[in-house]
Amino acid sequence: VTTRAEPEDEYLDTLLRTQMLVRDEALADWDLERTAVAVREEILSRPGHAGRAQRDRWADFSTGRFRRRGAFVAAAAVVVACVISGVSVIGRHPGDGAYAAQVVASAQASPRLLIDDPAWKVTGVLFDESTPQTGEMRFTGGDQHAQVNWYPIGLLPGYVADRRPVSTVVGHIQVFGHPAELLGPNTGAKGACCEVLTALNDKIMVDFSGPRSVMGKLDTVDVRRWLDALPATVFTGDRRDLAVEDMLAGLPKPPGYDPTPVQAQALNSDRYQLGAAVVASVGCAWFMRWFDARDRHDQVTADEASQVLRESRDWPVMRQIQSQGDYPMIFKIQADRTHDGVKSRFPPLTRSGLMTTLGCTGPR
Amino acid sequence: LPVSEPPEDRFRVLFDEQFRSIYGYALRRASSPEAAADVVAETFTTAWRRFSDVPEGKQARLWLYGVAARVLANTRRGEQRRDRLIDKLGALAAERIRSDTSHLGDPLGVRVQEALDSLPSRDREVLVLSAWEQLTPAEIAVVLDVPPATVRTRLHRARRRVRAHLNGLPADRTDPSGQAPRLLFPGHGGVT
Repeated sequence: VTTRAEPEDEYLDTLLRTQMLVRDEALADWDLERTAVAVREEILSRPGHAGRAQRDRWADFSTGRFRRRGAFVAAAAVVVACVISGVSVIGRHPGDGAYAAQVVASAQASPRLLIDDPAWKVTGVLFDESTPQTGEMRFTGGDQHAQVNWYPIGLLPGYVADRRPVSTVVGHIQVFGHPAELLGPNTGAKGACCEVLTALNDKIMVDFSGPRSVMGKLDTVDVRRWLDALPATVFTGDRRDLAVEDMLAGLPKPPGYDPTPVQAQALNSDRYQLGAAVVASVGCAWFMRWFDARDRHDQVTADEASQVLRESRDWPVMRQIQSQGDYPMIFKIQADRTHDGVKSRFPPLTRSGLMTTLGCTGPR
Repeated sequence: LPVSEPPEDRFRVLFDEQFRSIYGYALRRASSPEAAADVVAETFTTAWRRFSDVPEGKQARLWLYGVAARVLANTRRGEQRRDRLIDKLGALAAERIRSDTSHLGDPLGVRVQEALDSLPSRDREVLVLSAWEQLTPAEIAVVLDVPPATVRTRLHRARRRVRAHLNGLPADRTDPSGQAPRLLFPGHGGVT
């Protein structure tokens, strides 16, 4: 409450308040809850408060933006993501030289971008095969980092407009065979000098940031070369099926649980993403059982489901992935909320809320 | 929540209590709803990263305003990555704003906006923190990290200039009725 002596000040403030683009009382009526909760949980999934940084393997890549870890990345039940880390060969047995058809198809869906410089290595890829026009890759060269994001071409004007007020054109380079403005300084990935916003083709735009020395070296490559450049452990093909079976075997399943969706996913990922998908599949089935029991006032069944969910921290797959990301922590928070004895200031659990936080896609 | 509670839970409470205040603050100042969504995300990300620095109670909102002000002022915000979730938040606002802001175009509103735009940015921010966020000079001092006396000086100067600006503009510049200029603040001079 302001302290104003003059009535004129009150009148002036009233006039000024007519120029508020959004009044707080109007904002209160906006249906922001789901998105706000999603933003909140995504922030929580980031390295932040003391002790959390070690739990997020993407911390080194953090550019100050959200990494699709934790609730969202880990909700891989709905995201066919390809996230690569580590140092081995994906999708083939070392030395056999042949990639599985599934892996080739995944690569074909990607723009297959690489920095054409042997000193620069791919450290991460994240893309959704169902929306191949969106994705990102990260690279390192010594102690330097670069990152490329790609989006539908229609977003290019918006990106240019977004950067123009805060960027300076520091040069011109050739990217994908055509000229592009080099924006800088201090834009893009951590420690990067420069950024390029340009069209890759008539469907995809590219946002590439990194040291100036690599800005003209981004190029598209063929499937084989791109796959050879991915230094990751990715479960795919037979290895993926075996891993899923192994993970599922250690979990209690609710009556009527159908593992087919998670078994059938064309998921190419590391153990963390795969584990999160398995946990989401089984865990969400228990959550749905809990909701259904609550709806029909079947307290015994609800209590049983709650008990299973709250013991999920001991599931083998949880232990396998808990040091690699925040999905297990977020799952535990939601599981604890099924217990009526736990006092919470938060809104009651909802099916749609679990879709947001855990990637539950509906009744299973 | 007491500090004995997990920090994640305490952060959720902070976020839930302050999200709309900070979002409104950002929407009223950022260049676009999408940029405002980025500001909100950056502000709360900073709060989470520095959670032990966030004061409790009412001071938390002032602390968050201060962070948001610095995020807004940070000319490096162009480095921010767009995120589908943040874009969604911005799109939600853009949709609502389109249907909620018809009042901004009326003649008097145009004059008030011109008066606001005529102010130096520091004076303008003090004035709108008072009028829009309804903060006291002491609270504004916390947000801007300046002495309260400085806030009072800027506030007084800003109000005087806005009144003068409003009085100095002939009404027929924006009033199609052609009526004689009307002094909104009798006793105050014209444009200085």
